[in-house]
Amino acid sequence: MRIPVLIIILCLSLSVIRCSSKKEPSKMQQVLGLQKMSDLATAEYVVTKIIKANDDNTWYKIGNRKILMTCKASLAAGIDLSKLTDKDVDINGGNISITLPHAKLLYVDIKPEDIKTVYQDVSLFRNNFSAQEKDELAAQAEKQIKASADSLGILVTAETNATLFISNFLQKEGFKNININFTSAKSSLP
Amino acid sequence: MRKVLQKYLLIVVAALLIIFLFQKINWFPSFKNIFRSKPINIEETPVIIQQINSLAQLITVTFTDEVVMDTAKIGNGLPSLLPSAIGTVLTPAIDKLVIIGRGKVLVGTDLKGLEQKDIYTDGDSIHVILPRAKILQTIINPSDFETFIEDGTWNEPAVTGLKIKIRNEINQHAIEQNILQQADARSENIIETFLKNTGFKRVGIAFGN
Repeated sequence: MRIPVLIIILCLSLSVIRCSSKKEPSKMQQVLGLQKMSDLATAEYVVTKIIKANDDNTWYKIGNRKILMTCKASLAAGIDLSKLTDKDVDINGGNISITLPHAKLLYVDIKPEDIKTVYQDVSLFRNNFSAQEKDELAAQAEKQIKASADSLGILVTAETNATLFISNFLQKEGFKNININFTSAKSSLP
Repeated sequence: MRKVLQKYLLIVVAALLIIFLFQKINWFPSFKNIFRSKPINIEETPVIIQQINSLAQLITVTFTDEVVMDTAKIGNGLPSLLPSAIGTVLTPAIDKLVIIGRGKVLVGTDLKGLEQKDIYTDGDSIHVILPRAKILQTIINPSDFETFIEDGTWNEPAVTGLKIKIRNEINQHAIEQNILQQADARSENIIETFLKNTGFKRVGIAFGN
């Protein structure tokens, strides 16, 4: 009588252990289709980065794999014109004062042809880096480039260029004295 | 005999419960993780600025799409026997590559070419001639690609070539959605609102060639 009970307990324990294994969160669903925007891109930085990786962390894999890749990326920043309302514009005859929203990073673009493998060293018992693995390494580089955007100074350049562009545009409209400033609240990177 | 068996079973159940509890509080690695490949992490290397460009691009519409593309070639693997109408045929190994790409097309008006002659003011009226909308950028970053099948050995130019085909296909899909016309309408709307905010009562917008 006690043996079947023990077997049931054993099975239940095993099933609980099996169920307790955490599932990987699924990739967030992307909304496909058209979306309206109002972004004025004013600055573009072209940057390069070396992607360096060493694959020797898995204990049961014999040998090492090393890879060195280079990538070129374009980063663009600008201002969101949809945030500009009539309250942000003050006109007094030929004088105009505009308060613009702060610049934000609009996109990071790494073209497939701008990622190149320059060196790889693979041990005898290991496979070459697959296309998927190279993409995963480049995706990490993409994340690092995105994170470094603020320190590169692109947002400051974007705001300076936005000021210049809008001033020129308003001059063409006939305004004599143009004053452009930015909102006090700074927006964060996407 | 039965008592010995019961004793062993109790020990096994107790051991499993202890392992389970230890795993729950992360004192013991899960069985799954012991044989899982460790992720390859890249080193932190500096980002070098090569060029700084000033832009004046009004991005008005974005189009997001997903495209699957595949390619195949005769591989170096062992040939296989395949049944056919005339019996079994020895066919060479085929290497397959299937990639899924999710891309974003940014469409809008490049205002950099806007000149004084394109803006005409008369009191509280203004007339602006805008350049036509165009595809400004198609973005498919490494994180937007997923290699679904990678059989055999594929060199870098072949993989890059397939990815470029995916990008061109997404561009084509965007154009088929009349995205340029929609971007023109949106640019007109944004510029009109901006000009009205700067005090003009009547705003006329036309498009150049």
